[in-house]
Amino acid sequence: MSGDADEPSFTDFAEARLPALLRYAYLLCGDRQLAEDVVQTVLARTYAAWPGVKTKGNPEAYVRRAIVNAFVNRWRRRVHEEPVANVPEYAQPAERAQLYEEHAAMWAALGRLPQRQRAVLVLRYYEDLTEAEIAATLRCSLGTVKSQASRGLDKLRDVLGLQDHEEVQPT
Amino acid sequence: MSRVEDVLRGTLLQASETQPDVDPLLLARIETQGRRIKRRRVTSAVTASVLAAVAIVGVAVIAATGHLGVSRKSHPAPSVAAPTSTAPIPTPLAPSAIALTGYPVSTAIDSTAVYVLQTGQNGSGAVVQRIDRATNRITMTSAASALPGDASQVARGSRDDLWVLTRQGPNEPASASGLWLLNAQTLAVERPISQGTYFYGFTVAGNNLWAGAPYALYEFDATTGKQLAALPYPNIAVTPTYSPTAGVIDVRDVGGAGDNFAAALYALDPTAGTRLASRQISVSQGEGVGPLVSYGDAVYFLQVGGDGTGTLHRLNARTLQDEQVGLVSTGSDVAAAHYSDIYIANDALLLYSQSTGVTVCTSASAPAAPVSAPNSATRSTIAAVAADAAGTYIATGDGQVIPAGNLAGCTG
Repeated sequence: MSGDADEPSFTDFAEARLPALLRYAYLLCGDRQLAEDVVQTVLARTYAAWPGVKTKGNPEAYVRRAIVNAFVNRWRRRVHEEPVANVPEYAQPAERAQLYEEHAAMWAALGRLPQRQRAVLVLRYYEDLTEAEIAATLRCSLGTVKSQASRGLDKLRDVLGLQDHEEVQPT
Repeated sequence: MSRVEDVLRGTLLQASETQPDVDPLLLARIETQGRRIKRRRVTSAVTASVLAAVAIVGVAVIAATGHLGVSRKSHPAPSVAAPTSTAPIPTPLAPSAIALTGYPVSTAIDSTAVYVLQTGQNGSGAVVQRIDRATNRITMTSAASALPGDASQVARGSRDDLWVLTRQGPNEPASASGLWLLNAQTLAVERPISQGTYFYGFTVAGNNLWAGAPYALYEFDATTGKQLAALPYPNIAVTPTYSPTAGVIDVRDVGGAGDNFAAALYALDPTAGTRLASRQISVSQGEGVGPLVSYGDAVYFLQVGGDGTGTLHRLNARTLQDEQVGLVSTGSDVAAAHYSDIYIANDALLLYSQSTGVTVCTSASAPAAPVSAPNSATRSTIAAVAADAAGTYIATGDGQVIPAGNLAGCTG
């Protein structure tokens, strides 16, 4: 690479943690390409600030916090493109078919949540962070975390309720 | 745990587990972008050693490639010439570098000028500079505020115009994304096209322009900017490429999920929007697929391996089937190279690794065998290359353009 003494340790970190960071970003964004964009943006900035990040310790926590913030901020600004209906085919039709209906409904419902609610739920139920840790990550109050999680779960529960209701309909 | 929490946890876990492998080029892109950010934070970064390295780049490319004309648009059919063996190590020349005001991202060329799209000096905004080919001097710079967003791509239009693609950058409004039609002489923006739309890339061929975006490939009239069609697309149209011989557009379509990353090439009838052929590319763990270029009746792309090797594919543009496949690097000195960019013209293919700066030159008509030794002296980064039969211009990542003269041909 460039020969910078800091670079190898950043490269080591990025190489080791990229898959996990991408999975994390994907769960937040719900879109692989956007997740890559977010991770790339955050890690590029981390690269440039690596000596400071490394000195403070726990770079992964720093990067994950930056990813959440980038996700929230990006969604505020993001252009919502208009996907064209009736696409001719899907690249991975089998994969969609394999998804459990319930998970598909849940995933779709997650995508409709406000970004902060989604972030709270991903941090709580995927990252297994405590409410206090989530509050620190998102830089908000504990009460906000609790209320956002509660509202988010209520919305998701509604979706599942509808689905359960449909499933018991007599044929 | 309540049922909703249980399902939520399972959904997140499943979504996480079905993610494809990491694109091996992603880390290279991160490091390249990170270096740029770092560079912007350190003024006066252009040192004598970098200049020397850049000079070597230009000279090495000249000697290794001979003549190199570069375009992602139409090309004449290649002559079938047998490649020679490894090119001789060049005698260093002293190219007169042209200092830019920003950092180059993309280039375009016509008979009188080279156009360099750059990121602004302060790290944001997009600027175009026009270099007169007769004098190798910058004769025009677009207004600093004329082009919002991050610089992405520039291409010469079919008339006296220039197309520029910008994308929304940090702390910028959505309207910073879009295509812009500029006057090639004055570099003034004549009109924005599809402002607010996030395109990944575009190609111009004759009176048509195709731009790739999420879920659609947009077609514009390249003279008026009027949108003609939006061809639906399953995923993301990334690098549309026009193949005049085959009469189709080739698009790399990055597949979504699954255990392995999947890339697909599509050949589309540009008038009807119908699919003529498709080609699914299975990419194993640690591999990736680079951008496409068209040349004659073929298209080329690089598949990069997790071990640092690059496999060059030449496909029939109409059928998308492999005509020839070659391994372009195996040497230990390029063990870490991920060939991620490809420049082509006449019968020369210049393969450039963004991660290591290594270049390899090979022949378009016989791409199986590299005809030049891998050259690691180019690690100062090639940002873009513009060339035609009369000359080659190499834009380097540190903000210079090196006129590389009239090259003789990769096959010697």
